[in-house]
Amino acid sequence: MSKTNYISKYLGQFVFILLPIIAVVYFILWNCNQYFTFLQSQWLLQTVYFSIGLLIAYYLFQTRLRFITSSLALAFLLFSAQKTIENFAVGEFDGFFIAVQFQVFAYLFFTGWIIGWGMSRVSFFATILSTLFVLLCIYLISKTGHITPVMLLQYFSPIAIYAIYILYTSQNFRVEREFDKSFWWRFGKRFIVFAALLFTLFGGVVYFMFDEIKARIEEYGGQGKEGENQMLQQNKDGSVENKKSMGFATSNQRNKNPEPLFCAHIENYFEGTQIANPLYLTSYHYTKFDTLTETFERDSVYSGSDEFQPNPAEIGLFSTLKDSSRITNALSNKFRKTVSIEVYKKRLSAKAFVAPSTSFYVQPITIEKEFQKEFKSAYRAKSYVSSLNSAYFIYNTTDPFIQSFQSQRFSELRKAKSYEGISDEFMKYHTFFPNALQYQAIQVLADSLAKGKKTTIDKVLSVRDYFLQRNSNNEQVYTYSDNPGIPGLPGASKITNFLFETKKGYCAYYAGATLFMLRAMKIPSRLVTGFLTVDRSDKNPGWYWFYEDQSHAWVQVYFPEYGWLDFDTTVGNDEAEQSPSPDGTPPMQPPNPVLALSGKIISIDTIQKLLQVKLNNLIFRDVEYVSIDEQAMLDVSVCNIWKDSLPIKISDLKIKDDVMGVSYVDALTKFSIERNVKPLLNKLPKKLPIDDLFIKSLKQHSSDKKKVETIAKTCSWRFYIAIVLGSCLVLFLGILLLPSIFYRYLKWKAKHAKRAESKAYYVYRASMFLAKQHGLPQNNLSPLQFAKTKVDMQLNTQLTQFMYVYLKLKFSKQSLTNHEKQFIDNFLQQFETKINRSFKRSQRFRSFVNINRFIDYFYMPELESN
Amino acid sequence: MALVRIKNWFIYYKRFFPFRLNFIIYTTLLLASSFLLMNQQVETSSYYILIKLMAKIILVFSSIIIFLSFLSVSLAYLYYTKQHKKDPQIILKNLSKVSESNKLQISLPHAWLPLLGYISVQFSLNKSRLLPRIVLKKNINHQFFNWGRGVKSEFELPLQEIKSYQIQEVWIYFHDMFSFFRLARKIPFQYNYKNLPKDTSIDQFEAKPKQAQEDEIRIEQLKRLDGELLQYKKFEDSDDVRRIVWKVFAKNKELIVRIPETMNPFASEIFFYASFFNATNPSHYMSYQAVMLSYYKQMVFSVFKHIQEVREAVQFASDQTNFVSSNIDSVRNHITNCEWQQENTIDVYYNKSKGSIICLHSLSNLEDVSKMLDKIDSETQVVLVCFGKLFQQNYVLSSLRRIFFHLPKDELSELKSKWLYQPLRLYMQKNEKELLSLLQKHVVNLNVMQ
Repeated sequence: MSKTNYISKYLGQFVFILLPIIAVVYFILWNCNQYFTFLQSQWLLQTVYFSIGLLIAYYLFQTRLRFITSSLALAFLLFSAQKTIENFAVGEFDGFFIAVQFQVFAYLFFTGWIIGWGMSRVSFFATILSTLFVLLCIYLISKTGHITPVMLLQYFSPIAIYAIYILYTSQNFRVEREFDKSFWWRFGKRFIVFAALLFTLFGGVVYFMFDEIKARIEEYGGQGKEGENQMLQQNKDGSVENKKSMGFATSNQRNKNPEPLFCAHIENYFEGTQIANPLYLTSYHYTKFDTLTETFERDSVYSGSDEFQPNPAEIGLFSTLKDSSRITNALSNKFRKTVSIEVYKKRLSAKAFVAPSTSFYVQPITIEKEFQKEFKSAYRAKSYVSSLNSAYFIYNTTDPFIQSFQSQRFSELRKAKSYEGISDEFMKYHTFFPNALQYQAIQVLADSLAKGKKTTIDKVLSVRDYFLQRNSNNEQVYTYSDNPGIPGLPGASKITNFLFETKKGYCAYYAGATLFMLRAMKIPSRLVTGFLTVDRSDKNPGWYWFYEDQSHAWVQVYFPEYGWLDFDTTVGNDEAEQSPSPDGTPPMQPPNPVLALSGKIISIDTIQKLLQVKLNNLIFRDVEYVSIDEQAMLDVSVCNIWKDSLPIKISDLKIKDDVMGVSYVDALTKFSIERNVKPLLNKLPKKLPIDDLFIKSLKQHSSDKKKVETIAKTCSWRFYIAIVLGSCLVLFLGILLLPSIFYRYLKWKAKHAKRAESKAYYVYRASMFLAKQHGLPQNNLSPLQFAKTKVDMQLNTQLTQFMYVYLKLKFSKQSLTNHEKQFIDNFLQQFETKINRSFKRSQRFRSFVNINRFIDYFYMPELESN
Repeated sequence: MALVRIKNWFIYYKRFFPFRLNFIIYTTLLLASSFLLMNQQVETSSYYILIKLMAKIILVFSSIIIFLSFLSVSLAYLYYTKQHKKDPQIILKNLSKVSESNKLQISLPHAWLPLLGYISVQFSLNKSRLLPRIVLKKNINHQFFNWGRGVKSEFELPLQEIKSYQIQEVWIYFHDMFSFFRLARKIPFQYNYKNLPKDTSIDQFEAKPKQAQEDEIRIEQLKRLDGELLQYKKFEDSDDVRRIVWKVFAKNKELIVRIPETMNPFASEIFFYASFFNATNPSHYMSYQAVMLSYYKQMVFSVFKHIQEVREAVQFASDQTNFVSSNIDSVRNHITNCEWQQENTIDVYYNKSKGSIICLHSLSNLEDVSKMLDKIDSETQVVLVCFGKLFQQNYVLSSLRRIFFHLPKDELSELKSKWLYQPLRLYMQKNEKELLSLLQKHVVNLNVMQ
């Protein structure tokens, strides 16, 4: 190989193989620097270290250098250098700094060395490398705290494209032998085609999957955009609900939307009074913490959880869902009582469930007619609540009156037992504390706060008091802020930054910091999200209105026997206690139905207003009979019939409609409950009086919706496959039809040509095309020879005669005779007829779909050059 | 033996296995990743969902492109198979010229290149010996539609020995763009490939025709030859009257003379002798003997070509057959086919009245050479091709080098590494030394080539 060829080869390898690797490694290192502080945010320098190793190894291993011996020698060299630096570097700090720097250099250089060797020597190394890079990038991207679909694609697309690109390029370089002048053109041409193919395919995949990507990220993608409400997520239908995970965002946009999310009636009053005793409403328990991204998450697989998360949208009206295991998991028996709550949702998602901790029962209920426009859905829930969990006990306030009130609970909790006897598994799970270095400072702080505190409650109070501390100017040290900002160092912990640097944050910061301090003190605790309950007016005792800015996070602490108790350490969050608009009128509570049933209409009697229904489900005086196979006659003479919240007439009902009937008739209460449904139905009046009849139960509706979604999903895939297959088919047919179309074009041109020369030319082309398409090869014969020796000999046509006329017209100055003109006019038709007679229909069909012959028609034989 | 048979069977049928190591690794990694993802316990984690999402994107994307790749390679293979049934064309052209290396051109008409992939060809000398693969990436150019017209490539077969090789089969492989798939096809193909000696530069030396021979051959008598019209002209004063063509004069009374052939009154042919007589048994140490033979052929041809460049009429006289020729291509071909022989000894072979140059080598018989030396005169050029340094190397240095460097992957390097322990080495060194001292004593024009 000449010198120029060597330059071409090495330059090509650098541009097409090494440079993309360096770019990907740069991205990986940049991403790693976001998480690991010891890397000191020097990703550019680190990329240079890696690149040196890569370049040296890649080109060195193109010689016959042995890998094992050379790598061992290199490792020994680096190790010796490291030891020398450690022993001889001057100054403790400088020495340490240089040693760490060199270590980073050594690791990266050696990694570059190994990759350089692999790419240079091992034929399948590109496959392994691309897979490794993809896995690493997927891991790093998935740990990005704030991700959007566009961000995901921005991060992920280059690596996905690179993964395929390197497979192609490395293999192509491996088989490339000629690095002459034409190399750049040849390789560049293929590279462009490959790039076009790659981008088209990736673009297509992203296009078809974009909705899924968007939906997934919206549902689960970390903490959403900066500046959004970090506690709530907005669904596609405009409704909101609590997020399923929570991190520390740099800003929290507390939307002052005057529209309330929901209102709730909590049947909790101070004992012996009508004074409302508000309770915080819980959505989720975050018992897991991801150290890398500092994100709190739910743990749905933890068996000891007392989190009750039903989906009210999937439960039929007046059907109940009870889970008594939640009460067992609450691990408490002191100061507990059952509190009932009714939630009327306005903008809160239909599937969201909030209730005081610990809830165990839910029953979707109807909404009174006049409130149906205002509220979308409602449910009743029951919670096994601690008397020590009043919101007044929880408010973290400096108000001396409330503080003196709270001291009652503190004195009670001082009687709590120690954690001895509590299962190790429970303690280990709820006192998990990250090992990372940055959390050690929290441990030190927690130790100092707990010093001298003997009881759990005093330790908890020390944390509360720590946040309430004031400086010498009597200003609060810790303040509430929706814009806590980001730490100066990319890898630094946000929680320690909040605790020790900025000392400002919103509820997630206070709750998170409290949780770690409590866990550092070995107090079992967990983080919960939900809604802060504020008693703003005494006009409607027990009724509370909830707005977006009341979404909240706080801590629950476990006290033996007392169970999980709420503690809110967020300071100065007074804004949330003020409602953005005056509270509305609470809805009228519907009476408790005596009878609720669901089933399918078998017959309708519109005159007597009777319905024969095949029952599926029946609830009588709160006792539910499921999966029943009985029939019942419903009297709907005084009944309101509803379909999708709109009143309809009995005549609008259809057989096989799924209906849900509710009766509030007091007369039915005189009948006692039976074990089985049959004796009960025998006992009840034959014509069951119904007050409200709803077409399609919510459960069925939602399952139908699911079915529709599934069908739509299947349909969408089918649709895409059909489009792809259809396009392929059209393309294939188009290709097959090309010869036919081309022949018709020539015929059309011949027919419509005005000048005799043009006409003869197109007749000539069409006839030659027709002959060739039917498998008569011209080879190197002239058109005249071809006509004479091949076509006319085999098919007995007059092509030779035509060729004479055509050549006369083309090359001589003589004009054509009328006879000749006529001959040209009629020739093509005669020729076509001859061809049709000579070949069977099937042969003709096969000839016309033979794309090779079509291509062959355009082929001009190349002169042999020696 | 059974194991060897199984191994050979495995190697043979492995060529038909369409999935390459790259694809197997890719699939394994893919399955392993999917397995890990599917067995992930914490399904509620947002990261798991993101990981799954990205894994799905890459899976769909890579599957589509790999499927396309497979489709294109299959189509190209099927198309070629179909075409091949009709017209089994593999065109192999020898492009080598005397001054150039042994270049060949192979064309596969009517072969499609797979989309961004390539076709490779492998020649089989016998069922077990396959030559390295040749990659075909270039289309055969046509005015219209390059695609589908066939592919071609120019290449050199990396063969060490200078001799004739009989190609028996051709393996044609269709590769996809990622080298994930390889579809193979075996085609019987007979071709006699001559790995000709190349022209290597040698030191300047000149051989002179022998005087005695010059006198004998000198052309004094003009020959009457039939000739073309161009070889006749009108008589001029300076022309030799003996050249007048009287037949023409008798016919039309014009004095026409035949233009004489250009004659160098001192011109004479140089006879070039190269002895392939081997004093050892050529069937022993065959690998070494083969390398030495190739080297000797190379040097003989180089010397012949060098002499011919200076003097046109150099006749090569073979000791294998009665071949005598001055045509360089014929001589090149003949040298390529020469073998070590033990019949035609040097003293019998060498004709003292003709031979101006005689080539000897390290394995020439000392007695024969000594007998021959009695015949040669002072003007005869003797070329001694020494094989001593052919396998020579610094064993200490090369052992040290081998710690950090692999041996080159050629036969010569391997032979070099074992040369120290070969009995042939001692014999050859002794013979070479004695030959050299003998020749130095008796020959004036001695050229030693090492």
